[in-house]
Amino acid sequence: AVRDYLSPVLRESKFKEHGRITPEEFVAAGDFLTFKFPVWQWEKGDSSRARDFLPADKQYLITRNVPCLRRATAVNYTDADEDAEKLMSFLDEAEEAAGPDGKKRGKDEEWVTTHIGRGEQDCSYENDIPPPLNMLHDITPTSADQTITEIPDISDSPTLGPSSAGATGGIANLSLSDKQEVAGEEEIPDMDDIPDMDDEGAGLEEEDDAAVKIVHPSADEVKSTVGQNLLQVRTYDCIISYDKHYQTPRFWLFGYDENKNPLTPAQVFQDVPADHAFKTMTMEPFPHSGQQLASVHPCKHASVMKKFIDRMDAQAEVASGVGAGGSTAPGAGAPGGSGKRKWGIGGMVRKVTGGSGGSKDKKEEKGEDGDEAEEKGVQVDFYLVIFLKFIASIVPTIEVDSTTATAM
Amino acid sequence: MPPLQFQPLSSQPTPSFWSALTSHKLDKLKLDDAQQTITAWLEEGREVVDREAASSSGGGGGTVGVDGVLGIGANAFGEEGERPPTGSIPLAGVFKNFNTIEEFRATDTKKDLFNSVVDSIIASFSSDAPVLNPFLLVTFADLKKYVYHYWFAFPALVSKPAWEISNAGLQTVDDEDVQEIRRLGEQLLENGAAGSEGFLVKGPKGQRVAAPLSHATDFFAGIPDDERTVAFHDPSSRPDNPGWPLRNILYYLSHRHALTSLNVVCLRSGAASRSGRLSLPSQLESVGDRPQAVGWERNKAGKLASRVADLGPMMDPTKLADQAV
Repeated sequence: AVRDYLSPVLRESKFKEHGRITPEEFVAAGDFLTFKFPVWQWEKGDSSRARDFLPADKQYLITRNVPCLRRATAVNYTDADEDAEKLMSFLDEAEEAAGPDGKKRGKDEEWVTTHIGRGEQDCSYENDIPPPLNMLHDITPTSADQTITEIPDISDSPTLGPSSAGATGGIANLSLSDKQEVAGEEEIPDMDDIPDMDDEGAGLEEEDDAAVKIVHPSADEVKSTVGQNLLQVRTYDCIISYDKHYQTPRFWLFGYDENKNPLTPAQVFQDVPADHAFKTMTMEPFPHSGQQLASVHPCKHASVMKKFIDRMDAQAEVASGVGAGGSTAPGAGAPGGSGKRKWGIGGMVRKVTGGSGGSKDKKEEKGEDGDEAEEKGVQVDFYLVIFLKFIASIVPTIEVDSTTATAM
Repeated sequence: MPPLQFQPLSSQPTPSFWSALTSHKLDKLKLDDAQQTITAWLEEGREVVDREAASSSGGGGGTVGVDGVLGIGANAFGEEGERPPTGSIPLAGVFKNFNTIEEFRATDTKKDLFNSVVDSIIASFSSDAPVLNPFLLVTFADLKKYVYHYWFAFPALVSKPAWEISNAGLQTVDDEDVQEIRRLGEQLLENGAAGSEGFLVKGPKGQRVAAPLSHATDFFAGIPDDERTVAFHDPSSRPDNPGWPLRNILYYLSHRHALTSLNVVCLRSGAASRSGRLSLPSQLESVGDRPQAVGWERNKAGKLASRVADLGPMMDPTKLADQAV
């Protein structure tokens, strides 16, 4: 916080050079995000904690109740997930770029290419306990081969029946819910203080046939009823704030369980792949309310974002060279022809560009190289759209990237 | 014709609400435990694409319903705070904070509170702006431990006989129709109509007109049953069940306006909206001064019990100090 306090507010646009943005650019990008994807909205926050370099009513961005369908430990990643694969290899490249402090990063600090070719694995470490450090090391790209051999190879049969899937992930998750229940009971403090625990609801109301009985499914049922529209799911409030020191957006999470109770930090980290939990993702005080929220540490955001932007610029050039609006790249997630499989963002952003008349108003925000940027490549308005793609790779089970699902 | 069942509402207080309650209690309420009015928001149910299921089952299917919640945030006490999410509608309710856990646990006071809310609903029936879906929130805040005991109630009047739904059940609605009905609803709101949770619609496709619920008798005069439609913002995402707020809307329409057969359009976000044909087998039985009412929120186990929000890990300075490395 001291560093944050002492850092000067970034005034010049460093968007193209370093992937960092000014508060004004953050607001412009946020305006674009809220305009294009109204699930996002600006929030004032606690006015006594307002940051003076941002407009009073545009302190941070929030989207509420983003569903998280599975625990990160139970996610079945497949080789077919072309996007994730590219994204990750791309993150590796970003490592070679210098960080905001100008130093090259050490090997052991790498963004990890997880989830590639990894079969469904049961959560071998007990749910609430952080994985031992050596385990984190095991799943680095350098030891990818050995990791794969260690994992029971279920990926050959991705359409596992619910019964067999339940044998691994199911049981692990069941023990989780049992544990939670026990913990929940233990949490109720001082039984002496609370009289009549059992008959709390007695006599309050009579039987009612017209109400649907909500049944919270077990982990097994969750697996077998996917697609049947009957799930009670965890949801997250996702927040993007502006980090003055790192001059990038910063991502925060606040979770609710299936019963809309706040998640504990340990539960939140079940939804973060082990490679990021407690490393790049930690609990920190949210500057606009002081609450402890899970946050992705922004120290590498700038370099990653720069790589993203460079790549998109290059792609945009190629695309405009080929010409013809007819050659739209396949949208994100849509498996296209083998030769044409591109990283999805390029196509997505071009679609966004085509659809927005208002983006030209932001011309003056782009700084000196505005003219060049107007002609080709990424405008700063897209910054947060790209940022969300990046975040989606860190928390793959949280459907934070509504930008692919939304009609455009 | 199967009886119509409704998806109960679920509540979701944001952490900022508990912060706001803490400062409200310390700075304004102090030991005052009188009931007061607060506002919350009601989200529509929606469908999200489950990328996992969509890819493993070869596209198609792969959607998961997410129920809209009754959310309550830092703006509940009328001060500046969080904005309700886009597309949600505001809902007023009654709030009471008890000073001791014993008072909070006592059944009689809660029952009285609940009945007073039900009375206010019924009393509002005869007015021009019926308040159909007020909620009730009782709390006990253990401020030293940052533990909040709370219990929401969403009072619903029990219709006897019960409403039935045609054998076809709820059907998906054309996007065009949804757009048109939504537009009409927004126009009503702009013209200052009260009762934002639902409204009446009639007329053929493309030429529909809308009116507030309280105009039902005049609005539907001379209109055949199958062209009478009520639309409402539906927090449910279940394919076969409309959400809780419809109960009181239906009760009001049958009790006050003697409607026994109509179409319902459940407005949900995205392409999840549904419609169905509802009817009452006979006129409402005349009940005494107060019909049976239900609506205390159930806990995870489906039991009637209060809930606990433990924000200690997020707000307790001593626990925060432990976490800081």
